[in-house]
Amino acid sequence: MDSQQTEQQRRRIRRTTIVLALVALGIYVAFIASGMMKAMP
Amino acid sequence: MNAQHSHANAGHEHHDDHGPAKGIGRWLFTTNHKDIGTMYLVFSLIMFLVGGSMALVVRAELFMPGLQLVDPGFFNTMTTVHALIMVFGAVMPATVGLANWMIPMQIGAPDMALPRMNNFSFWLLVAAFTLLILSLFMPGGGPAAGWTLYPPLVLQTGDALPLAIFAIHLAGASSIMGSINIIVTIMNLRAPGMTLLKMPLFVWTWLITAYLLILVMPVFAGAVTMLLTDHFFGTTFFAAAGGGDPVLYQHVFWFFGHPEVYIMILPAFGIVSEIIPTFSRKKLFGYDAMVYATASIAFLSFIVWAHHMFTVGMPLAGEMFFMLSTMLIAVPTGVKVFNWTATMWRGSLSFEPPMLFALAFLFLFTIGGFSGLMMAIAPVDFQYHDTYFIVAHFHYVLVPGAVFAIMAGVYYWLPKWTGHMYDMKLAKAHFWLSTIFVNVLFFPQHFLGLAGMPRRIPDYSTQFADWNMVSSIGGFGFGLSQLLFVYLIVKCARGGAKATAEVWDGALNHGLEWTVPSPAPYHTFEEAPVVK
Repeated sequence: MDSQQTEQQRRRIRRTTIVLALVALGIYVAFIASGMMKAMP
Repeated sequence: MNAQHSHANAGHEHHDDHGPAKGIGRWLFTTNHKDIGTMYLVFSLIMFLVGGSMALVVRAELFMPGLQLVDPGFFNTMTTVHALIMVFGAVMPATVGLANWMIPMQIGAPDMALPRMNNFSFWLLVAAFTLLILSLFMPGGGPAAGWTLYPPLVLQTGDALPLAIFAIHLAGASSIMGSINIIVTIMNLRAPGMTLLKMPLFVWTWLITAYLLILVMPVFAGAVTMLLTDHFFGTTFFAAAGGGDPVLYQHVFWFFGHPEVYIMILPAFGIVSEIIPTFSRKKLFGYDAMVYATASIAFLSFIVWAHHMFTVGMPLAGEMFFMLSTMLIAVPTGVKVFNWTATMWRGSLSFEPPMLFALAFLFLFTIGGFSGLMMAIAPVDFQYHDTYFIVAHFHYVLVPGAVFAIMAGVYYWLPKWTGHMYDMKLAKAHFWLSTIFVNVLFFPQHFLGLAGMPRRIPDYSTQFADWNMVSSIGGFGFGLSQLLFVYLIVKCARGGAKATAEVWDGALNHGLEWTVPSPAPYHTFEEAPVVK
């Protein structure tokens, strides 16, 4: 594997990691927000 | 699967000059997937013994009617912390440990894609369970409202509540990081030629499990965060008096909780799908169907949560939906059981310890599956709800199900990890003792539940005395049998007959891990093998 491929692979790994972390964070926030909507008088 | 694997050995020789670091630093700072896998497995074994000891306190108290050994509050703490430790500290880390060890080797990768995060997620888990265990010593005692932490009861917990919730957040963060690592590794570091539909089933089941974890762990974190703000910051998410709804917590919890069951069992399916073909000397029957069945089970796990709460009162249409969607899970699960059985059909079977545990899994997990089907029927569930029948059901799924599969996996891959064969006679003794006692322990609980004995009580009516006594004897028998497992692993790690690279007769056809020497070199697949 040459250095360009390695760099591409690193970028792909970084991108997937960030997307998955954001999905997890989004779900956390969304569920708390839905709880707030439900608990509003 | 054919692979050009000379690279693996060549890689080993090349790396002899920089093996593992020496001393405690190796374990604290390691980024090697094998070291981290070992640490996860050792940690889960310790938690298995700690959580198991708590179960023995419960069974000792229930040996006879009346209050004899512990006060009822402590009894409730034991049932609660036993469950939290077994679910998040024993079963899940054990499968993560197996994933760490095996996934890179099975896909021909040199390591996990994010090795530093791998180290961090392990040590975060240790911190989480240290906090959880320390919460037992807080004023007011440990958490005692059951592992589901239902409000309003859980809000009566003393100073242990914030500690337990913080521990759950840490364990959740650790799981999410571990899952991201697994997904990124599988999607990016597969060897050339290792297409998705050539991956071993263990890798497939873990890929799907990792997605499940990322989707549901934040839901649980959200639920316990709301508990925390209800307790300390005056919010009323789950307090009816302030416009909130305690049943909302149950919905949110089980939206996490049901997929959580599959998070524990899908990797177990993967392990069994590796072992049965090896000891049948055949290819896995219906590989594609197994992959699709796993994905179907994962999808269905998101639309069945309310079957845990039929008795809270919900519209008939809701009960019908959750009843039917739950029953639907039997279809992909049936596909799996059929395919495992068909794999053995006319195979050249042999019954080494991994295969024995896999076979016990097949029979006993199916018992747990059938009792699950019974409970899926809403009107019938009104009878079973919160009785020992439920306790019997989920313990059949999790102990001779998930735990037996993990033990099967350990017996299958231990020679590859240590380079030594273990004592077969002792392993078979461990198998038979475990299998007999696990049934003595949990089968009578079906009868107790059908007769109406409620769960989570330290005392009971005398009509339940006999089967409780039998169950407790089974509990102590099963617990003591596990000391054999610990002894056997330690003995194997310290020495024994040399294991070959293939370890099991014919294993070479069943995965890349068998192409590397035993013990597996510290660095494997520096140059990717080519899979044909």
